[in-house]
Amino acid sequence: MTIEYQKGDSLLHRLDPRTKLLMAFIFTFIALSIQDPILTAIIFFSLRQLGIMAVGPKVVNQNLRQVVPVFFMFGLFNIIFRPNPNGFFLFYLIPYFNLAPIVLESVISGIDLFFRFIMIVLAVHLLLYTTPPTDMVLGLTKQGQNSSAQAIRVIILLAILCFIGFNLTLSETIDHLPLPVIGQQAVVAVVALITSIVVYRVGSKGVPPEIAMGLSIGFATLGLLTQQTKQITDAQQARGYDIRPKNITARIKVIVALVLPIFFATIQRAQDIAVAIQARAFDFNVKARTYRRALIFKRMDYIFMTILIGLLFSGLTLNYIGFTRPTEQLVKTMFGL
Amino acid sequence: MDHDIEFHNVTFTYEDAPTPALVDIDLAIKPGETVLITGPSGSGKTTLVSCLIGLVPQFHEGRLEGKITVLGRDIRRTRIGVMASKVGLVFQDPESQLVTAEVIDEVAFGPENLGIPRQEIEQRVKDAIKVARLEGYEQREPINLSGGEQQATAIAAIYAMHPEIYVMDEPTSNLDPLGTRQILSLIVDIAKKRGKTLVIVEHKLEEVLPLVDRVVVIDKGRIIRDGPVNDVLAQGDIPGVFTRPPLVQLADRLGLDTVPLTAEEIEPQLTPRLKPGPAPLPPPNGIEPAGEPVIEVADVWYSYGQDTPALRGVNLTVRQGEFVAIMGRNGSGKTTLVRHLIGLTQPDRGTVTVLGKPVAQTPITELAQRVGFCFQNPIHQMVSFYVKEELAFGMKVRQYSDDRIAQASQEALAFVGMSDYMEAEVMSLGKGLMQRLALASVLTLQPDILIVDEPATGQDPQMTVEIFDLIKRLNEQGKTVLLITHKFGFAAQYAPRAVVMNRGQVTFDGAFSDIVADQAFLHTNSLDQLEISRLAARLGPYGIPPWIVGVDHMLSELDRATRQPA
Repeated sequence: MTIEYQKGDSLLHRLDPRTKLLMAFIFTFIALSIQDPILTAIIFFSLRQLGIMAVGPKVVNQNLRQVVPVFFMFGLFNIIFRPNPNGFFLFYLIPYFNLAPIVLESVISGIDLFFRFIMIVLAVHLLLYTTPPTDMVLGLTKQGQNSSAQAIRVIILLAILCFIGFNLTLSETIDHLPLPVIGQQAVVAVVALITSIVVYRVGSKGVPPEIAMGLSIGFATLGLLTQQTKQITDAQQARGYDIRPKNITARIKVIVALVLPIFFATIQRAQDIAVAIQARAFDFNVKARTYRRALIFKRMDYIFMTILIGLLFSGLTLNYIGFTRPTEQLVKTMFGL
Repeated sequence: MDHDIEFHNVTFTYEDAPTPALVDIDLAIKPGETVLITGPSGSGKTTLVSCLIGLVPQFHEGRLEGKITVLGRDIRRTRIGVMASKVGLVFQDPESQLVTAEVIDEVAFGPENLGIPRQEIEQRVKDAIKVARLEGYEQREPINLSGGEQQATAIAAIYAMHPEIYVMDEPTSNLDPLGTRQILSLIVDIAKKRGKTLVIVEHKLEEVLPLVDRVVVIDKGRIIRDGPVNDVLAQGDIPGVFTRPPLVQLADRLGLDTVPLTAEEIEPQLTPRLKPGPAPLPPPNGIEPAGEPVIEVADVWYSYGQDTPALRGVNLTVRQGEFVAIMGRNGSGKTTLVRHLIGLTQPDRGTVTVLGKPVAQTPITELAQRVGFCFQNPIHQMVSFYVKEELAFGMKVRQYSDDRIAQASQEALAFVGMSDYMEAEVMSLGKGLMQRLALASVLTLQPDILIVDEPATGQDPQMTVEIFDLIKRLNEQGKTVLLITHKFGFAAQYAPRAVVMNRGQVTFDGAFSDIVADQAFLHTNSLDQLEISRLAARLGPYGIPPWIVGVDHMLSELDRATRQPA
């Protein structure tokens, strides 16, 4: 099954596309910052629950299932090939030769690795399931001007977040600055401010409308392309061509026979679209283009973003205070290691 | 500014084209005029309307001589976007011009480009959707709409831009007969309501002539006739270029001093000559009991998804050597049904047997040998670069010898009258030739059964006659033919047996003569009664049978019913 937009009216569907783009983005960092299998598992299953509420268990599981073996292998490799030399020895995978020692810490981090990867994938899936492609592009497109008061507010908020984030993640580096504590913090504050201004400028600029339109038309016609491919294979079958042959060389031939007509169909389609959008005055005045759909952050968006940022910062804080692997410590305590 | 549109001595040659697409065009269209442009495929109609927003020569490049002014602007010096803000152009193929993921976005796209404020866009979109009768379709995906709905969406999208001039390039080529009438009257309503100029390119003269003020006939890039509807019709047919509707021909051949577009116009001229006669005889049964059944469809159900089923218990038996026309509204399940006959689609329930073989257990590769299948859009059927390879495709799959391939290709191409095109490139062929090539490629395998899905889409009347003649000849050679078509008039004259489908069921299966006069039945199936049949029905009291579909038949019946001079 393809990973595509599913119609619906769930919590995730109602979120602003920008919130969901942020979600997919932030989850990468959450996955990097939290290194404990139980915590990552909890986050993963909560996210999955949200997904099930949005598009149902069938859709969520179907596509997730395809990546499970891959990440399972990642986890397994981590366990087998990256044993912690100081870790608690469990057993040898190849006993008679004392090869491939399995260590408790690696097992735990292997499980963690699995959940971290699958969490990122799920976050991206949910973004795609619940956001119509056109809205996604709209989320990336610059619309109108923001007032300067609003800009200052956003920049200050970003700067505070950056300030805390830097202190949590780069504390060692900051300590090495040859300055008194106040001076160190001032430097961090300035860097945080500059970073947030750059982020704001990049973020608010968005994609130019021409590119955004290209993207959204591309998304809108993906379905058509699938249809065209079907038409071509139908035509070939109707002429007695076996499109599902058993041997490999014949299969490659089938694909080659498809390439040419699809190539033509695509070129034709691109030409048609170029004519169609011009006939609808697309180049009338692209900069002054207006948008029917208004993207407005609602309360739920703010709550959701706060939770995301909260999660990220909790992960960073756990790292900062050195409480990175509670599960590992718990297991060790339980077995008196 | 006296005229909205002015062409002064315009000649245009596409880049790399040997001959000009438009030659010495002089044309002036007044504000508020409704003008029909007609002529054979490839005569330059689309090029002409493309000039109106500057697509020619700014996008489609070439050499333009003379001057074209639209709403006082020189189209060479004005950006396409600016022209398009004043001239609303709807193209022939609605599918290719829909660019967004929802109907409502599609309608808003134009106004957004014009920088209309958000609130006004909302209002315009609402109005346009209402005018185009698309309420309830706002969130639907354009690519999943029927042809008529797509066409209505394309029109709504232009309406929302509030253009000064509406230009429609063959807006009904994919539509069923009733859909055609609805879209045409929708277009004319929209333009007239706003008092705007309307230029419409169309082949379907019988439907469109009553709605327009003026007719321009184009052939080989030249305007060969231009004037008010009656004047242009009074000048007669131009073979291969301009064929007048049957009623006009009838009046002409009877020597009447009138140019009738509807049955009501000609009736009072005929009745004084006729003598009241006995009620018409019951319709002759046109279907002779034929040979063995070659296609048997038993209680077939099929659905594409969770939606209402596309086929709901279809039963159909076709015998060796029959010629069956399958008709019905857009989306009634015609194509879905014939796809079952070659195994491209397998039924959810029920069985299909073709030439004694159960389709479910027979590989398509085997069926394709004996059942020739022509798809609706010939472009979708093309799988090769060159005509030669296209013809050989099916035979190569079967590993025929080179000699045999060459001979069969030659014969098939000669049959469709394209012997000179053996070395041509497929994509360089026009629509008519491509349709004939599709037919020829299928014929190379010598199939027993021929399935042709709407061969007349986007073809001009001359090409339609040619393709129907070819199919008829194949039938006479003994091939069983199933033909899906919206061309009710053609079908009634060529095929004895009609199968009408509606909402996934066969609602009629029998002789054409039983339905041509049944207006209520035709309407519920989105077919449209021919004007000549309507006339026949009105002349019932004079002994004219109501199942007449052709001019010649009508003439002989009129002759029989004419009062003998005392």
